[in-house]
Amino acid sequence: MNKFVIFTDSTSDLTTKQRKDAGIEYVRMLVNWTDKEKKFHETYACLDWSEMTPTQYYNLMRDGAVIMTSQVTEQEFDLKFVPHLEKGEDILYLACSSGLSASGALAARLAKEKYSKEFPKCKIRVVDTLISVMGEGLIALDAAKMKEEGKSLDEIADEIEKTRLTYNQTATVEDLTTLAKHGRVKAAKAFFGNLFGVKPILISDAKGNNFAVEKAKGRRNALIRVAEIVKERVIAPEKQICYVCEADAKPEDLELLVGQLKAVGFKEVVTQKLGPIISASCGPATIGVYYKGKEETRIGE
Amino acid sequence: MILKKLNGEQFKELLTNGALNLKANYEEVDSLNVFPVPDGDTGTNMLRTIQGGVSALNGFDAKDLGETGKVVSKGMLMSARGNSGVILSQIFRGICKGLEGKKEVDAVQLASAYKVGVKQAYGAVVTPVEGTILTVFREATEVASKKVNKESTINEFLEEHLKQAAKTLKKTKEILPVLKEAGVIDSGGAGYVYIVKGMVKFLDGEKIEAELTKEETSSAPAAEIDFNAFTRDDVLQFGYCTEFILRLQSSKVDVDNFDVETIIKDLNEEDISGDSIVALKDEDVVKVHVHTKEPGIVLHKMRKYGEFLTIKCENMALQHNENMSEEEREVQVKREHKKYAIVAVAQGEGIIEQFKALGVDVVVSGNQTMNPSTEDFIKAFKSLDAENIIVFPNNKNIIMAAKQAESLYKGARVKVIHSTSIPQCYSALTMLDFSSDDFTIIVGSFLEAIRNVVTGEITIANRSTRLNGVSVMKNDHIHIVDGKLVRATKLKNRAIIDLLAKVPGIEDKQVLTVIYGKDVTEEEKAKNIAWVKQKYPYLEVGAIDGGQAVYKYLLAIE
Repeated sequence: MNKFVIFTDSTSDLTTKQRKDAGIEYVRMLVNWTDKEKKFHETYACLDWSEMTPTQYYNLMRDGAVIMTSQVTEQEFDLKFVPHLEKGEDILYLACSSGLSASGALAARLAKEKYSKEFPKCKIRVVDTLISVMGEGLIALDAAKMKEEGKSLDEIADEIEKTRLTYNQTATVEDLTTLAKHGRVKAAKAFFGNLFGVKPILISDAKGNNFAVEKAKGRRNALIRVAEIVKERVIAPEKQICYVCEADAKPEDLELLVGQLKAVGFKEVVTQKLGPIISASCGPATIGVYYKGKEETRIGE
Repeated sequence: MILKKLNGEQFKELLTNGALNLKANYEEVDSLNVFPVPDGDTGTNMLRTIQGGVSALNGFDAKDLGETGKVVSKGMLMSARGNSGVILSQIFRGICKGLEGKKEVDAVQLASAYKVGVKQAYGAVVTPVEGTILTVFREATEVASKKVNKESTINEFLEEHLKQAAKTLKKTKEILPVLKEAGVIDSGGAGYVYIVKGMVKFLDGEKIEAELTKEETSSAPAAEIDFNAFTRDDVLQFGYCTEFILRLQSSKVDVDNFDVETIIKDLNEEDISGDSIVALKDEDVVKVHVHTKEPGIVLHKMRKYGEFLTIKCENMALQHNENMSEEEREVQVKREHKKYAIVAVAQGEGIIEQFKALGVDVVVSGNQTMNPSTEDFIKAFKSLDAENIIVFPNNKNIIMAAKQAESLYKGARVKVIHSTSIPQCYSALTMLDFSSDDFTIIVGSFLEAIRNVVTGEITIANRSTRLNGVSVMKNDHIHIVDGKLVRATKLKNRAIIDLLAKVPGIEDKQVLTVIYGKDVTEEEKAKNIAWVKQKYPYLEVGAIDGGQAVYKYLLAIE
């Protein structure tokens, strides 16, 4: 049996340290925007934030830039996968939800049509995590744990395909403008109505789409509602770390939410930055909470 | 004229003169207003309500008192608008119930009919408030009833009724603290006294200097029928507007327990595919309105339950149907079937546009100075093809007419939300979410949104007064929070922050929506908003050009 390496991608939002500690690698998506001087920029969506700080990045959006994202390219897969394949290693790619990105689909096609021919002895298995951000990140961390315990690539992949919908997202955005521009959220007709003052609560549905399940009036009400939903859905909070991913939310908002989440009884509540891809389509000040709980069955229309 | 007994023709005369006398005085009734703001015009509302009863009698052979009463009752029910109008319609509904089955009555019988009126009116109001038209009518009825015996004339009963009504009316000022502070008597009570006075004047042979205009006394004359609107080559598209009155027959059905839903169900069956269905049962009579391409099947089926008193059946392609205007025809063609539909009362171009964008299907034109009638609501319901209709009356003086329509309309499940302001409705609409597909949840979320919003209103006082402990000078900006006058000031640029300061728990509020009235200058808007942003930096502030009359600013504070 070959050695294998766990991959995820830019939407997993795992920090440099989290990836290093768990031995997880990632493939990069791309982001681009046109600045005020009409200059076009394109860069990798790096989770190391080496090119610019999260705040600089979110401020681009605050200044009105529309950041477009694109899926992992064939070159990137070649660049990241091939060295491992050359060493005779297998690859488990835990991909961003197929509801949000076609990166996993491209990887699967390349594996079948290209890498299997070039490296017939190596296996590449792509698992659609059906979630993004630290939901995807948590899956990767759990996979790394299973690997540590000696489970095989297929055992891990099977387990994740069985349990992926128990990784929950409960999120809210501060301002609907970015969501509206990107149209990346499923919602019932007339759900948003007037954009003003209304805060949708976003889940990752059973098909891996970001789906606005309900709405709250006012930011604080939305945050309180997020915590309520987490409390309703979480299973065994005392045994898990809850991840709060935020795109420069106001400190007092964050404090309110974290306080409420701590009261839910998590072993720990960890706050980190929302990555470059999802923040581009949800906007600055978006806050998402990720945890394990009830299996997600809802499907956005 | 001394009447020992009252017949249908005389009842009609009494009612007409009551209406005429109110007409001569309704403006005075309108001015009896607690708030120093152009307000729900009670006199106008009551006048239009009673006129509906009078004009329903046009062309009706009013010999039989009981039958006359039925026509009056229905006419007033449909034209009822404003709280006092609705209560007036219920008073007469009760009186007419008491007259049912009687060709004529004496004073004692009339008194008992009035007592049924008291019961009916009190029963129609969820929480009857004393010191209003209810008290005036009740006490007048109680006292006059005691004074009449078998020997008494109709004149004596009505004179005693009037005497006590006037007495109680003066007392209303003492009963209701809000009237006392404003120094006015109850307007609905005053309107009622004018009606009774008109009746008594008629008996005294006194002529009333007012005239019900043609439009008010007669239903619109039938227009020339243009038979060319439906030629030999036309295809029946709209079907027939079919109306009939059916007398339920004991030999065919259990008349008393017959549920009008049975008929509605028939009309909804595929072979009839009825539209715009309205069916009302009153004792053993069922009145039905339906649009169908198969009137023959309708008539055939309905004979399972009874026999027809009248039938009217008109091809809707012809323009002779006064019930169907050009716009309605338009609606008829374009409307889509909906599971849930929303009807809201509004005025102001910007507000109407916003409401429509937020999901309102039909806007019933109206505001606090112009209260729509029960019939206006029913027309709105009829224009929809919906299973469930949610209604936002948006004014406390409009709720009752909406509720009356809710109970009369059988073509859909109707729910009136007790919204008392435009901001409440606006806020509820922003939270609109039909995705649960559960009527209770949908209505519940609207109610929740309304509970969460505080309504602020800023307008100009049209007279000086004292209310709620606040002294108001004419032309002051007055601030109203959830219906209570909280402040009067001359500072127009700080109007909004001054109002916000009076909102309980403002520090916990997160969203402020400002709806600008039609007479606000750009400078005033900018200054007001700047002050708000400075003083309440944590509030998310949005603005809409509402274009409403009367209120310079309407505020939804959530």
